[in-house]
Amino acid sequence: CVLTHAPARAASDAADETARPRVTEASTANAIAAGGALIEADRMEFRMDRRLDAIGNAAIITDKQQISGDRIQYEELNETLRVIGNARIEGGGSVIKGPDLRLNMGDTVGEMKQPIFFYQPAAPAAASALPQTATSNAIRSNSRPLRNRLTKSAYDDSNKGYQPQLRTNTTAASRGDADAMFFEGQNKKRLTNARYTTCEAGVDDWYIRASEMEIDDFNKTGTARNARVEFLGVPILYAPKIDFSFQNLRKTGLLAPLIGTTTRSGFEVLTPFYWNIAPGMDATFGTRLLSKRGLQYQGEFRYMGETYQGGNNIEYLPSDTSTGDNRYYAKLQHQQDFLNGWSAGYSLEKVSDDNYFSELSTRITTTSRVNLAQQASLNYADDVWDFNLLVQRYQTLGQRTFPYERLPQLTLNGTKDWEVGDRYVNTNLYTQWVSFNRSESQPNFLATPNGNLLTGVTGRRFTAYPSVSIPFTRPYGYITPKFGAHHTSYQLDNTDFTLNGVNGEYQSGTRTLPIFSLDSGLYYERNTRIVKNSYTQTLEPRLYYVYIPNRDQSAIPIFDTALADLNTSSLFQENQFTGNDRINNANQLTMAVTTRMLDARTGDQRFAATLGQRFNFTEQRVGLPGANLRRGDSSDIVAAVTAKLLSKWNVDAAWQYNTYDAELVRSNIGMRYNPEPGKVMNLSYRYTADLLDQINVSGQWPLSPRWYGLGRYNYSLEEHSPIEGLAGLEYDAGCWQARTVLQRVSTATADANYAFFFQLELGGLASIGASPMRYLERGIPGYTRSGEIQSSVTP
Amino acid sequence: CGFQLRGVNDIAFKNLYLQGQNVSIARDLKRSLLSNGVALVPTPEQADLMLEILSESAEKRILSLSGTGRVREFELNYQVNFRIKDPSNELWGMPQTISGRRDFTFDDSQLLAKQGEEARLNDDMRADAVRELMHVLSVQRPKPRTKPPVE
Repeated sequence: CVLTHAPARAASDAADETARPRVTEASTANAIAAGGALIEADRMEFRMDRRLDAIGNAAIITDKQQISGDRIQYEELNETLRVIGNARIEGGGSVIKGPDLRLNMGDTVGEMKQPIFFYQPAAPAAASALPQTATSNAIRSNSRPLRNRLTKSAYDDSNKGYQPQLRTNTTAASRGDADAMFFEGQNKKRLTNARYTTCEAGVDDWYIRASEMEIDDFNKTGTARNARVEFLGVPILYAPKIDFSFQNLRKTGLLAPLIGTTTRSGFEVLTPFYWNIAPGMDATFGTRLLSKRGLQYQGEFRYMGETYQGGNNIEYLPSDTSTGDNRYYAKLQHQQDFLNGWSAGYSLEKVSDDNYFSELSTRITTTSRVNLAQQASLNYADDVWDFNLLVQRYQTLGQRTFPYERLPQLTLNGTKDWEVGDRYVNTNLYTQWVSFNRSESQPNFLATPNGNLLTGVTGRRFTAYPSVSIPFTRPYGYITPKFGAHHTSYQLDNTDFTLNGVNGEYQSGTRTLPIFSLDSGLYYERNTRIVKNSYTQTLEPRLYYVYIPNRDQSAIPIFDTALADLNTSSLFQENQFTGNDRINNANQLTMAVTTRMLDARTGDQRFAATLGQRFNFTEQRVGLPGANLRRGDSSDIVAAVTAKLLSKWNVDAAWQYNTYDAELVRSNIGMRYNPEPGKVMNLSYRYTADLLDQINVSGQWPLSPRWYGLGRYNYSLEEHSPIEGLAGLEYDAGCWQARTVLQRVSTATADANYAFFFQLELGGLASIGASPMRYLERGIPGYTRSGEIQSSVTP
Repeated sequence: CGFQLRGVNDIAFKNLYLQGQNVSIARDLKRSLLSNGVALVPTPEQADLMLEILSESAEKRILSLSGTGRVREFELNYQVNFRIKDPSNELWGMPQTISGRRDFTFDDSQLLAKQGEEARLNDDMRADAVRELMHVLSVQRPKPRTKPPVE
């Protein structure tokens, strides 16, 4: 390191000792940029051309940092400086202050007594540009599957007890102090008897105390050894080593423990450990001590790369003290994209017993589960073709009905547009071959309105459905005729069945049906004004006609077929059944009208309403076994309304009205008020005849500065009992958050479970989304963690 | 009541530059554009209009439970974010969002059939999104380029 001539020049200018030496801006910049240093002071003294004393408001400025103090002594020969009084080093986002500093400018080795240090977070934009942060964001939002039909439709919610939530958006400032700081090279510092916190100056709510602490300025990370965490003066955690980060990058280390109690498993403590293995790869290990059951081990390993992603999740509870059994849960998952249109994946889930979730989990997304998929798939997609090979079976918990195994299912779907004259003709070919199997011990049991259906039928089904449609499209409307032929053939085994005590037999054979449909619609528009905003209002009438002849299908078994819900989507389907085992006979016309309000400036849809009904010119003859056929010559009336109001209200409502019986079949109304993050209210009423009648209230609201109330109440009016209940309280102290949650969970395989959880989150040190958090995100739509509210409000 | 048939004219642009094609609706969108007489061009310089699909997201949530904690209804959400640029403009337009929502009743004893229904609703929701996106595009009236493209 070479000093510039700046100090000499400064000294020569300092004839008047009271005047602060100055150099011109330009030469300062040049000198610093050239790798030199600039020295400033009220007064400068040279000793034998080797030592420089800068006295009074002294500063040495280099391109990397600025060192200042009351008095700086600089030894030019060995490049050593000493700062006496109010020493301060500033640079690279940090400030270190102390009474005294010794530093060798050459190799950056030195020492400061009684230092206080501050770290500023990097600007959010800069932080997100770091590859490591980008990866961590990606792994967090890995819910979007690769191009895979299978996972797109599969309901995926694993039994993760915890999931590290990487709070890269909250880059809190941090600070600390120590007995001594040792500079050990360009980017390394070692501290003795140090303290570290993300609380602002003057707030001493929590600290990491360590006999030794290392700081890596390049990676913006720190390591505390022989450390303990003190919260409000009380030590709450001891650890031989704690890693932390000044930028909240993912960092290996202990995560905040979760403490709670549930009626089924008793008092519990979950202590997770997070291991940041590599960019795009991490693992979390945990032990969960359950007072009524023993010690459960949890492990989760996640990885993702350009063309693949996956995760393995295992929980193991050896010899449960309540049941005496070894209990486990495992989920293995992988997705691979071969980049040439092909992709593949597997998802395997298994649990040791029917009651595992209801006894060991408190999350509805888990406890409501009855079927666990064990499946693998291979997919191909290009501009014309879609291919999917699926091998699938299920573990079914506590049920009398078992889904068919598909070993395997092959689906090939092709769509191509042909230019004929001045228009396009669309051709589509759908083919599928499935082998439906079931184990001997799992007969098919189906409750129907007219008694139970019992059968062990298995078989292979082939379907081919070629079709041609010719769209005539104009901006103001369209008309699309479509012709197709639906062919199915069955080869069946174990063909006996019993429906409502009457025996029957399914028959192998083929079924071919022509299908004709005509879809048409018009767009009307007008400009309108509501208060001060101008809107485009549309009026879109739609007519949809379908003709399918009747064919007796009562000798065909039901493998994957059911009646679809009637709604504004299914009104425009050829077949009211999903699956290929039933094709309805039809000579029917659907009439519907939609109106929308679009913001004239942004094009955003603010309001939409649809009203529709289907009219039949023929009786329903094709039905499901034991089901009632339609009475009357029209379907129920369906209406749907959705609105996004400027006042931060969202409204979604839908009704279904049976004109034949003059009764309401479905009535759903949901409202959300979400004026800002941290303030949300949800209110909904859902009614479906013979199935549901419930109200749902949930919300998060600030009670006073720093306090947030959380709640959810789901009550069944049909059964006159609560389904879910949750009450919680969050406290946000800025550099830490605490939350408690009390909840009641109805479980699919056992009685309701009550749970109470407490979690403490120390900003920047240990932030995890443990089970209550995941629960809150589901239970209270629109929920924002209190620690993230400020950061999301202030950009 | 003031309603008129929409835009009696055809779509006002012939060449579209599409950016961000790694989304589930890309294929259907391309087909829809082609069948409406819009050609997809490989460079922005050749385009009368530019469309960038910024992102998409899909979510499945439990909507309601039975008294015994079984799922009775699921909710599906789909959202696609995009923005449009007129070549005569220096800047991209504001990001816009098209979102769709469907719900369906669920019964564990009809698992495979309900998976089929879910897939159908997902396809329908995406087809709706493409239709809405086409709607947004079809009312665009891009101005002709003020300067010829830079050689």
